[in-house]
Parts: sequence; C-alpha cells; structure tokens
Amino acid sequence: MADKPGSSQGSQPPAAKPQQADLAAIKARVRDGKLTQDDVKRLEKIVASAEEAVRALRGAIVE
Amino acid sequence: MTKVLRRTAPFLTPHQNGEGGFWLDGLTIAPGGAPGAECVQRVAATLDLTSLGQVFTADAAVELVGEQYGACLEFIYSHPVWGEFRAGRGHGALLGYLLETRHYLHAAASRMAPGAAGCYRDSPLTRLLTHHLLEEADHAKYFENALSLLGCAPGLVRACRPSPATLEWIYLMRAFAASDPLIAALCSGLMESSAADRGSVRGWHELLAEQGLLPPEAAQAIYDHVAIDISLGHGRNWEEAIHHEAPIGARRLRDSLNAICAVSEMIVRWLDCLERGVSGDTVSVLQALSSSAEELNEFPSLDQFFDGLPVWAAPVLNELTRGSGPPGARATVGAAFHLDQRLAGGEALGEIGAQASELIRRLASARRPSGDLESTVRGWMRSIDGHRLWSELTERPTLSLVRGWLQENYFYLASAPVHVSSAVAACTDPVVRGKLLDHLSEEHDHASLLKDGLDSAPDCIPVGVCRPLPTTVAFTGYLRELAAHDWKAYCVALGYLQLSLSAADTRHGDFYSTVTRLCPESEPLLRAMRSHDSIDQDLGHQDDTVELLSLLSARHPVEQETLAKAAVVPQLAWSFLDGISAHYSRGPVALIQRLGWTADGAA
Repeated sequence: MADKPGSSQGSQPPAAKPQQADLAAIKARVRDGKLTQDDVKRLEKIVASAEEAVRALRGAIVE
Repeated sequence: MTKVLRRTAPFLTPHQNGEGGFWLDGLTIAPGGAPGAECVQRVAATLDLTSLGQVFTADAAVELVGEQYGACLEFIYSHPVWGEFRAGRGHGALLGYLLETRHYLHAAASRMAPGAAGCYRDSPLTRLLTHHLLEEADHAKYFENALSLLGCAPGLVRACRPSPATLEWIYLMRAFAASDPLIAALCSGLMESSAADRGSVRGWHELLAEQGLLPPEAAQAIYDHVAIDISLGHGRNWEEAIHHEAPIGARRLRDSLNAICAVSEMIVRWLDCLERGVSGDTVSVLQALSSSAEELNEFPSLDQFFDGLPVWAAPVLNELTRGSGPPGARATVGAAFHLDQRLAGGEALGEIGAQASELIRRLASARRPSGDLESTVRGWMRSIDGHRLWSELTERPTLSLVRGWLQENYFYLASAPVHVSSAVAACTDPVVRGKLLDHLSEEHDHASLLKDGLDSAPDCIPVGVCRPLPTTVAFTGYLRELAAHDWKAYCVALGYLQLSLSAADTRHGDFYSTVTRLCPESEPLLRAMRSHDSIDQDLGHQDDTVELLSLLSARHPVEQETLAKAAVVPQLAWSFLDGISAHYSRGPVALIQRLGWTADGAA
C-alpha cells in the first residue's frame, strides 16, 4: 500500500531507539546463533506462562 | 470554512492516554473519552441509508462507496508505522511487511475466487471477478523477488507460515467474497484504490530506497506489483462492479459499506502486528537459514493458510503478535512458529534453533496427531488456555470489556445456523448428518439469549446496529467454509468448540464469579452468558460431542489434511478472543465505535 504525505496523525512520539540498531542486533544474533541471558529468561517466562495456563480461569467458546 | 465530513462509519484510533479516539473522517471527537448521546445519534443518522433512499443508482452508490473509501484510506494511512517509514525507521516492520504481504498475495486467487463462485449466473460481474482473480493469481512473485534480493531463499519463504494477523485478513476477505459478489468487488476495490494516488505511491517506494530501508532493486521489485495493477486497470474495477449491479438496494449497500470498514480495521490491526510482532525478525532467520539450507520443495502440498498444525499455546501467539522481548527471544519464537518442522535445517541457527525446537516440543501440539480425536482436540485447548482476554476479565474487568465480549459472542452464536447448515448440506453420512441436525435444532436460537441481555442494558447501543469485529467475521466465516469443503474437519472443529466448556472443570464457574465480584455492574450481562453455558451443559453437549467424534472416527478415516484444516479453528478462536481484548479494552468509546451503516427502514 502507498504512503500518503501528511496523513499521519502526528500524535505518536518517536521511537526511543532507531530500528536499524535493533535490526542489526537481530541479524547479528541470528547469524551467530547465540542467545543472551535475557533471551533465555524471556523464553522461560513464555513456557512457564503457557504451562500454568491449563489451570487458569477462563470462559468457553461453545455455540 | 466548516469542513463537511464524508459519510463514514467511525473508527477507533490510538490516543495518548491509552484509550481510543472516536475518529470520523480525520476528526477525533472527545479524545480519550466518548462522544455524547446527541453526537452518537447524529452520526447514526448519517449512516442510515434509508434516509437517502431505498434503492441506489450507480452514481449514488459510487459516490457513497468512494467517500467511504476515502475515509478508510485516511484511517489506514494515519497508522504510526507510516511515519516510522518516512523517518527511516521501522525497518523490522518493513521486513515483516514484505514477508506477510507475500503470504497475503499468495492467497489471492484462493480468497478472491469465492466471489466469482458465488455468482448466481453468468453476468458481467462474474466475468469481472474472474478476470481480476486470474490477473492477481501470481502476484506474490513480486514480494518473493524482493525477499530473494534480501537473501531469503524462495523455497523457505514459501514454507513459512503466515502470521496470525495475516491469516485473519485472508479469511476475512474470503468470508466477504463468499457473502456477495458485489461485496467481493468492493472489498477488493478498497485495496486497489490505495494505489490511486500514483505520485504518492511512487514516492513511497523511492523513499524506502532513499532512507536505506531497502536496497533500490528490492524497492523496485515491490513497486513492480503496483505498476502491474495500475496497468491492468484494477483501480476502477469497483466502479465497474457497481455499474453492473445497479440499481442496488439499501440493505445490500449497507452490507457492502460495513464490509469495507471491517477490511480497513483489519488492515490497521495487521499494521499493529507488523510493528510489534516478530515477522520482521523471522526474515532475519530466513536469511540465516537460506545460506545453508538445502534446496526445498517449491510449495507444500497443503497451502500454509489451510494448515493449522501445530496448534500453539496462547502465550506464544501473543508473543508473535505483540512480542516485546529481546531480539534473540523474538527470533526464536518467530523461527518456531513460522518454520516449525522446516527447522530440520536449523543447525545453522545454533542456540536459537535449539530453543525453537524446545518451544515446539513443549508448547505446540503434535504435528501429526496420532491419538483419538477427543484427546487431540482437548490438546488444542492450549490456544485459548491462558489467553490474555481471560486475564483481563479476571484481574481488571471493565463493563466495556465484558459487554464487548458478550457482543462478539452474540455475533458468533448468530452465525451457528449458517455454518451448521453448511455442514448438514455437505455431510455425506446420514448418521453423522442426523447428529448435526440435532445440534442445529438445539443451537439455532442461542444468539437470542445474549441479545436480550445486551439490549436490556441501560443506555446501550442496540446490537442490531453494531458491526462485528473483523476477527469475529474471519472466525465465523472460516467455520462456514470449512463445513462446506470438509465436513469431517468441521466435525472435529465442532468438537474443539464444544469441549472448550467442560462439565467437570470448575474454572468456568470460578471465572464468572470472579468477574462478577470485581465488576458487579457487569452481573446482568454475565448472567446472560452464564445462562447460555448452562443450557449447553443441560443439553448434554459435551457427551454429544464426544459421541460425534467417536462416530466420525469409527465410520470414516480422518486424514492428516482434515485435521490440519480443522486446526485452523483453534488459531482463529485465539484471534477471535484477541480481537475482543485489543478493541474493547479501550474503554466505552470502543462500544460506541461499533456503530455501522444501517438500512432499518428498507423494504
């Protein structure tokens, strides 16, 4: 889809970090295949959250 | 001079305090709050087509649709991601845009064909839709070319699974195309009209190269797609469709305009997911794998958007869509979801590949289920266990969120007669058909249980003038078409839906009592929902469902492809709940914004 000049709402603050730096970090990380402690902690948190979820309260989607 | 606003359904835009802005043709009303009753009534009056007429000439319909397009495009292009691109940022979102647009375009023929297939007779509109889908059928190549220039092997790109938001978009378009050929043309027309401002379109693609976001040849590769569409005249197809079908009744025009609005809301949701999700990180994974991967088969035998296996746990789907983790974690989640078993070549990814494989082992269902059907579908409950909607409802519920949840469930229940009937029509086994008929007789009127609860609330906007969320339409639309093209898969999916309420499980009862305790004013609404659940339990639906699954597997082979297609339902169920969470958590204005075009006085 095309951009439209001047159509931005203009109410969003600029990103705190340039995306290129994040992307360079991603590319470097993927190339060397290594994970940091923060990466591992985040992944462990996702796993723990999913494994606990079978006991969490929830509704249903019956018809 | 006072600006005259275009006639448009309202939209909801982000606002600085976190709540939504009621947005009408570029004007935000009551920012951070909600418009008053008089304003709402005036907006509703402008959306009542029968105040303009019962039947619309081609010129009148073109004017109304053209105005709605203009407002929709203004809404879409006000998304912050476009500003990021202009500033030379948003590189991750742009890479995600390339990958996910490729998947969306790859599905073009499949999602456009229901429009032509639904034509009652040979007509100019039939031919228009047929020509259009033939001309669009191979346009994914432009984005595959761009990704190839970035070092992503085409075979790996084709093996990649679309993101949840892209899948929603594909199925939304399919659902609308199947509903009415005119709606098919007009929804498609919204997309094509985005290229009408040729100077801006050319300028944007040049900007991508100038800002260093893409190499010039990759920017040219994706511009080639726009150029070919312009040369084929796709931008005017929608007007031609209106002229073929005119005069158009108010109700048909109402449905068309509401569909156009839903598509634009879906695109904004998709842009949100590009900005925050991990598709861009997945491109980096593809680049790393491409250098060492063996040549893969060109296309899988089951297209990725028909294959819901493996079913993923809700927290993973949440991370995929709005992950805020560190780069390595994002790449790991992206690799696991988008490539799963294609990671056989993942030694090249080192620790990321190893962790991705571990995620698959622990949080994804079996790729090739081997147990009985009941245990298989119970394993698919992971897609809704731990969903963030349940956390929001049980930890910080608001009346808006509860009502929104009920409202979308109303639209879901109201779709039951359509998709169950679709299954009855398709089912070739008289015994199974009998079970489906029993189900239809018990379910066909359940939506009224919720409608009564919704419409009895004070100061509410009647649900009859509200529009369902695009994620709801994608979910219910897929149920209908799954029933039509694979009734066995539909029966498996029905098992998943019905077994989400388990008689022996106290989580549901505790869920309702917790929400009521935290949000007492929601009690009347919750009573309606709880009443519906109780009726289902009293009808013995759980036992019926287990019996249906046993009957199915006793009388028929249930092939891998059938299970794969059924497994799309758990993912779209996640999307259904996620759409509710993302929208209705934004306060009372989110309910008011669901106002749609009406034609209540139509003959």
